[in-house]
Amino acid sequence: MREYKIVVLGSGGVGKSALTVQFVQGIFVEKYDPTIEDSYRKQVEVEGQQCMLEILDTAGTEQFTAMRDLYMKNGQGFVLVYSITAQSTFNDLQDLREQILRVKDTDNVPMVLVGNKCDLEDERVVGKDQGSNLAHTFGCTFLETSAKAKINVNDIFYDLVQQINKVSPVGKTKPKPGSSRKCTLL
Amino acid sequence: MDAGVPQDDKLSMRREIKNTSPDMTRAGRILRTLILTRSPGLVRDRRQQARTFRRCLVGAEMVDWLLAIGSASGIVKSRHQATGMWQALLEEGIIQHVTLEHPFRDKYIFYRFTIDAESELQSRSWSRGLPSPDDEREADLKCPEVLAYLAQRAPDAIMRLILRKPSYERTTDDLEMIYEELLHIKALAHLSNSVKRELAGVIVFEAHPTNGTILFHQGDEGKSWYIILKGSVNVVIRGKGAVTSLFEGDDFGKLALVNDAPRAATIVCREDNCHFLRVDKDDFNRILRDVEANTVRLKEHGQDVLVLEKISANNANPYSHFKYTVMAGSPAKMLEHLLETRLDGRDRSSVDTTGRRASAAGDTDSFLEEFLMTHIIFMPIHQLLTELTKQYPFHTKIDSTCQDREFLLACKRRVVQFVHRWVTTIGDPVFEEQCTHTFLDELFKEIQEESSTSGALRDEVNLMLQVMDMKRTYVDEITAAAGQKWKLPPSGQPVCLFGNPSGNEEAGEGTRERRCGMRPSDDIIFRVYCADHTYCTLRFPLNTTAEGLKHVAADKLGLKHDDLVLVELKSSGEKIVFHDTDVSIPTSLSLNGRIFISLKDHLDALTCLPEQERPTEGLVTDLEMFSTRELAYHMTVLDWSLFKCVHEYELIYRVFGRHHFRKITSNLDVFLRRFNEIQFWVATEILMTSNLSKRVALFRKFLKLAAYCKEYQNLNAFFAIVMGLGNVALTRLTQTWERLPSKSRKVFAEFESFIDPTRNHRAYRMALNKMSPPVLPFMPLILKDMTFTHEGNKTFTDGLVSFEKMHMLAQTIRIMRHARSRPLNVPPPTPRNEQEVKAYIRCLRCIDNQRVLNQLSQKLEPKRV
Repeated sequence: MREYKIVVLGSGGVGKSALTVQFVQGIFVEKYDPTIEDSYRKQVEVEGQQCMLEILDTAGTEQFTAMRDLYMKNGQGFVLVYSITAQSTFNDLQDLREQILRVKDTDNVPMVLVGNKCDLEDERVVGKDQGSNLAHTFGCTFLETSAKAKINVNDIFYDLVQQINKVSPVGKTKPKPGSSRKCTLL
Repeated sequence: MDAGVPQDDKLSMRREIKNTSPDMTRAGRILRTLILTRSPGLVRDRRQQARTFRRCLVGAEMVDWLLAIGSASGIVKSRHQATGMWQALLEEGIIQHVTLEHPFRDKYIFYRFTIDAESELQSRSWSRGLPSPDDEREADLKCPEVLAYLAQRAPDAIMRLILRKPSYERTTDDLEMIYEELLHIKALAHLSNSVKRELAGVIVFEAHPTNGTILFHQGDEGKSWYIILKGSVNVVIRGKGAVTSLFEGDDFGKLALVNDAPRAATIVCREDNCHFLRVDKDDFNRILRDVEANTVRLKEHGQDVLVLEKISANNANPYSHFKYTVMAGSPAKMLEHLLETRLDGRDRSSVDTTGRRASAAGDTDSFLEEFLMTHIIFMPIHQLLTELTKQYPFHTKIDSTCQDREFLLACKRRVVQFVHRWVTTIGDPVFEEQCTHTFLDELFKEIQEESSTSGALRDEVNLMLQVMDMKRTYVDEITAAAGQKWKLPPSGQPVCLFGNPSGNEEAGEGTRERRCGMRPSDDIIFRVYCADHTYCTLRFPLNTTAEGLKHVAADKLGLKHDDLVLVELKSSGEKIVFHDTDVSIPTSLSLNGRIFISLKDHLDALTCLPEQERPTEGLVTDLEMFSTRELAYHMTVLDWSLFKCVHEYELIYRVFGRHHFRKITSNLDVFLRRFNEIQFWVATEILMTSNLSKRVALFRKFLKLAAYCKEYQNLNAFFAIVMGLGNVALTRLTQTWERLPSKSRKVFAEFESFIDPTRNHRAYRMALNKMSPPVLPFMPLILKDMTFTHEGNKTFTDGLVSFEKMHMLAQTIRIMRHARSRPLNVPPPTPRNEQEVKAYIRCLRCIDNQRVLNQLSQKLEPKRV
């Protein structure tokens, strides 16, 4: 089974962890123990293929840029999350994207832009058009989601798997993530 | 037919919805029009087993067709979904299986529109129902809307379809879907996941279209347990009439199954279209009967106050005699349970002679310790003390004639033992509340009197003496530390200025000195800048709120108070606005971050101080002068002294939000900051070395440093160094890498595999498990685990504290506790430049702006074209 590593990025408080837990666990009420080996893994079927997804989420460690970079290096697909209720979280994404491109050393990175907390329509400050415009300049998919109301959560990850399949189709020798540069070194 | 009798499979596909909704009717009409005009070939007369079925369609082809017209618009994404859409139509009688036997299936099975079935009886020609041009126009126009409507109805229809399948036909996916559905059902909320998974295999769907249908009669044998999915029922008892109504999410019928008794009431549908989930008796007995006994729910005044679960035989601790573990409870009830079961009320002086059973309970069960580690989340100290006061029979003098003498003595013993464990386990934070002092004084006085009059409780007096000793030590230290000041230099660690609190420096070198961290009341000296880079210097206790700082800074800087905010400006230009209630602000800054005060609307105009972009004022030294081992040793000693100052509660304050507790997290802040400091120091030093071969040599030195840190079990510094070497500004230095000996590259690759996050940092977690203390664990991962435990689990469910969550939090906190359970006691290497090294590692120079690092990197080795 093919394995996919997906990195969830965004400022503190945008609800990253809720998206990850919602996706991996599928629910809110039940016990979630994040210290076991499979806590961030989930098997799904995309385009008729069984895939194993592992989510690398920086929630709780936003202050450690090195942790973020380590996850970037290891990841193949990226979820950039902001909260539609906080403009600053939206503004932070440009830098994050640049860092991803730098770390991956390519312009073609599977990516989904996510405006989270779309259940809080009353508190919205980032318009849907702002989101889709940014996604357009990034050349990536755009989704508005709610981990709480379970809107579009799985779609983020399915879309990324499809993007990754396009960039590096099954069967071809898969370039090891992040090691393109190191190949010349090691 | 009597609808009360469980329906025979053949008939179960009869219309279960009495009134077809207008939306569904319209959807059916439009799909039929589209099929007849666009793909008329789908509808044909077909023969099967010597029977002709007129004007029918094939299930699989219907799915093909729906997918074809729906996939373009993105509405219909899978065959599975299309099947659900057709099933929704079938359930409301818009389409039907030709002999009414089957639900909708994606197979070679015949279906037709009900309207065509009716016309078939009358005539062999398309006498009616052929679409008019008007119909066609409408159909084209409304097609997307109708598809969207059906797509919305599909998931429920699919769920019902699955729930109708007999157990043996359910696939793994089916079971997963049912399981997820079951997670949302109130009546099952108290059951564990594994029980729900088992139920997913046997639970069935049952629908009753008509108001007044009787599900079972009073006096019947109990055959099934029901949960209401939709609609409501009346509970009717002979002679009393309808005693109550039950609604969506409620369940009924359990009692008769558990007790093997006849039905105690009659159940009648009180509206049309009621839907139920049903578990039949055999399955219920197999799966649920034991589980119900496994879970004990204690109620008071009709409400659950404590939920216990039997510890399964495979998880049971062989040394523990506890059969039940606390899953949830109200704070007060949990405390009561704790005192009753985990603390020994007996007279210990007599027990001790027969073998120390008294302490055994505490050692083999973690409930008490976990409660102490986490109670501040759901029960602040003042509330804990109020409850303890209720548990302790104050003002009840116990004389020998007193009937309840033993009981009352036991109550007193338990409270004292609890207090002793609390104070020794938690330490300083206990005394930070004034109410603790009052409580302890009263308790001590009471127990002394009790002991002197009744002669009992001698052991408890001794325990209280120890507690009072600790209290006195705390008070003495606070008094001695009055005027304790910390300075926040532009870089590096906060420096202790006055009061010499037993000196950080020596703390790690085997001396048994008390830890000295920052206390909430300690002063800290720091700067607050304006937009024009003028500043004022402030001195405040660490627990001063942002609001307090803001007002004084504004006064000093001559700013008007309205609409000002206090903000951290990071060297990257990122701004973090402090909330008015935030405390311990100076220590929470990022490496080169500075505190600014600004008008709310002028935040965008803030610019970094020039010094923020340059390296911090660390010492510039040729690192090659120092022995790597000596560096690693003194780094570990320093890190250890910082780590020891972190209180476990600081993790909780930080993850739950320090503003909730109004508590400082300064010691944790400083230790976490050290991680970034080391990481950026490594990158900065290499990028500031312009000579290529010196750069290569430095790289190798850092690899060696990482290796020594690992040897000293300073994994926090090890991660920081390896991550620093992996900084993207360094990995692009091709020339440097090419000059690196292959052995060094191998070592680096090995280190990288150690920090590899795959499988939830498996490599690191396994290694950590094997290490014995003292260890400096990789702190960011502890924070991540705490964060996800918090975010992934509710603190309260149904008004009760989820102790399962507290248990998980305590497990992570325990990693830290275990890591520090032995003092750092490694032999120092032969001193070569001891004083210089010690001074150097306290003040590392670093650039923490990635953009500046990248520029340096470009300058060193421009991109090859």
